[in-house]
Amino acid sequence: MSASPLAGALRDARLLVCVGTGGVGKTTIAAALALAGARLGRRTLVLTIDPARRLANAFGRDAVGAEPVRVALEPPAAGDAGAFEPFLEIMMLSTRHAFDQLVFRLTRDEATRRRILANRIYHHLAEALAGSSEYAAMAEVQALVESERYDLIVVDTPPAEHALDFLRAPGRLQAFLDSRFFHALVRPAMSASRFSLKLFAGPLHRALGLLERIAGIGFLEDLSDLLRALDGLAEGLASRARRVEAVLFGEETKFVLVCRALAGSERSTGDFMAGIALLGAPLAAVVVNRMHPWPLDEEPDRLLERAQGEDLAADLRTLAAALGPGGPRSTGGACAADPGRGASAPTGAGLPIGPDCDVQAEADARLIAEATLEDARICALERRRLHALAAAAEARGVGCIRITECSEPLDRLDGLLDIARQLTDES
Amino acid sequence: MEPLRSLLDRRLVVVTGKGGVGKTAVACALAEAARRAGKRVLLVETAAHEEVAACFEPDARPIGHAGRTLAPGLHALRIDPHAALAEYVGLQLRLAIVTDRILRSEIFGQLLEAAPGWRELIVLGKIWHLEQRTDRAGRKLHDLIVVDAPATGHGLTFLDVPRVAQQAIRAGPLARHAGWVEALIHDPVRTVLLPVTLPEELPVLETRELVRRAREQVGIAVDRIVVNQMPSGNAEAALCALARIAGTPRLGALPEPAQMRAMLEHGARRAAEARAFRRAVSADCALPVVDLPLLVGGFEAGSGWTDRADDVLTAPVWPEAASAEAPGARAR
Repeated sequence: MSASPLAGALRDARLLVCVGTGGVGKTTIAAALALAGARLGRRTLVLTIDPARRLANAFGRDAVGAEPVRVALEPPAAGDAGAFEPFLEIMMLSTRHAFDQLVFRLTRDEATRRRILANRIYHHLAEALAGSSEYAAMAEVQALVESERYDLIVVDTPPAEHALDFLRAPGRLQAFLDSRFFHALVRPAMSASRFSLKLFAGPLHRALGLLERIAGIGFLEDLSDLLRALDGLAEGLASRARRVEAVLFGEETKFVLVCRALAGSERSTGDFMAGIALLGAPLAAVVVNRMHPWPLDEEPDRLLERAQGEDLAADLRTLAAALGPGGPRSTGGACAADPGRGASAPTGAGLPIGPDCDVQAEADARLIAEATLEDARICALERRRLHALAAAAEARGVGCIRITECSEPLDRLDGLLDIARQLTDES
Repeated sequence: MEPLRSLLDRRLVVVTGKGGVGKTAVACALAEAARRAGKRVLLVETAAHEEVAACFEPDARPIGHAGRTLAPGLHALRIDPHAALAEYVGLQLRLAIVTDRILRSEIFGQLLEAAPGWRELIVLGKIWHLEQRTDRAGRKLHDLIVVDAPATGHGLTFLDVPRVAQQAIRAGPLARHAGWVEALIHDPVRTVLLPVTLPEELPVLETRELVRRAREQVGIAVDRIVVNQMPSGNAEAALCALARIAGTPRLGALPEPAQMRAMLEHGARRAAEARAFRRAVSADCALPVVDLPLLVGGFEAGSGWTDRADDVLTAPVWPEAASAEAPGARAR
């Protein structure tokens, strides 16, 4: 069987949470993990955050909506004894208006609902409740986990400035609901229509006094009215938050940290691992995504070492001779659309090639060498960063998986299958 | 069409984009380019984690709320909302020193933790205040302020707070001050929003949404999009040349031509795809683009990125006009 650090998690976990900074391909990895889970015979749901159309296309759909839809999949291995039809559903987890929906679901009477909605500061308060939308999205995940409809749920997480905020959101919401501030403002004694500071003494009085000086009395009235309307929900919200935490940090949840081997990745990935460890969440693997493919056996560093000085000049001469006189490149049929080149100086520009070479052939030979070496430089740097990332993961006892950027386009299932295979080490 | 004004002719450039697109790098490049052009530049960070100093100094010390000079003509600071609030309460509202005790009290902390939008408002207020500052001769202290704004979504909410605050707070000094900040954000002469994107699917989608909301909701000027990490066309051009090679030349250091072809095909496909996304974002937003190359060494101090800082000032182009028959369609 495979040695992938994710193999166990894909078989046993009920919830896989993909985390990482923006732009690393979390959504794609989440989808590929779900695909791998479904191919293991588990009833799987993948929850995406971004409206990734190419991902929807890969699953044979135009778009992904807020309702789960079934993805048509071929059975993994034809003729296998335990042949089965893979079960995979996909759904978009919207963080937009998620808190509204949660509040409304917990509110029983229409009058309170209207009162909340009409409050001029409700929307901004909902936003400011320290990641309330993220929290609401996680509450949705918890409901899906508890629904028992799926064996495995894979979650893509929202991009956030502090990317771990959403994991802390349930705890922060509880803290707010328990705070003296919240309790003071929703005290039954405050049901008088006019907000009165006389009810308070000490630091709360002073704090509200300052707030009133800055923002004016109307603001405090609105705030108090809103918090009283929300008071009926406080118990519901708090117990819900506890259940979300129980699922999120439960035995059957594993985290997958997705990153890339870019400049600065080492620091951000290290911060992330430390943050996840602080939360006590089990990290199943670090996935280094979108590595540039390197088709040669020889390491890029080694190629760069050899291809310089006189050795490179000799190759340039050979290449120029093989290119022949050629003529202007721009008229060659297949390459009519020459994209125009980057501004980087060609490698070996100072090296003499020889007086016999055609000027165009000489330029083309340099172009070929430069593009090849540019590719090697990118790969060499990426590999150094990959090794640093793997070492940092290993120091925490976490395995590291490298995903080579797919040669298949990502709007086809083949592309995702390729990544799923890389994730599970299938050959 | 009128030629676009240079970014250097603005007073305030707000750099934003989806997380991971290189927003901070672009803000640093613009600040560096402006400094080299002789401007007195202020670079403002708004995130909790400081990042810009590491782009300029190998062993960067924190710059903090007071800020410090990173290079001749370039001052940087990170606005700390709590410090800015204390300044505001003390200076703008002229409230007694005793308020400091209230500001640091636990109960006020709980209030601030939950209070909507105050961080954004106070940070923008600080930027407004910095924009107003003059030296003894009455000259503006900074020619150009570059703001590394929060990522998209958060970034636009950030800019929209002064308008919303005036609706939520009906009267009082704060509402008045929010009006001043809003006027600066809406001023199409002084202020411009600079969206940064990557030539990839999701960043392009998000940029389209960002530009739409910037126009319809926030009312901040946008005149170009920065497309970061554009691949060079080198791989494609090299593949064209490789196709002309006859026979199998024996090379000593470079890989065989067939192997070089295998290496370059991936880069060529990515480059064609990138141009298609760049064309799409420009057409969808009806904005010209500025390309920034992929800098393999990143934006760490000493990586040599400062040599390419001026790229951010190049005149924006319309991709359709530049290459009507762009090879994106004939990829693969």
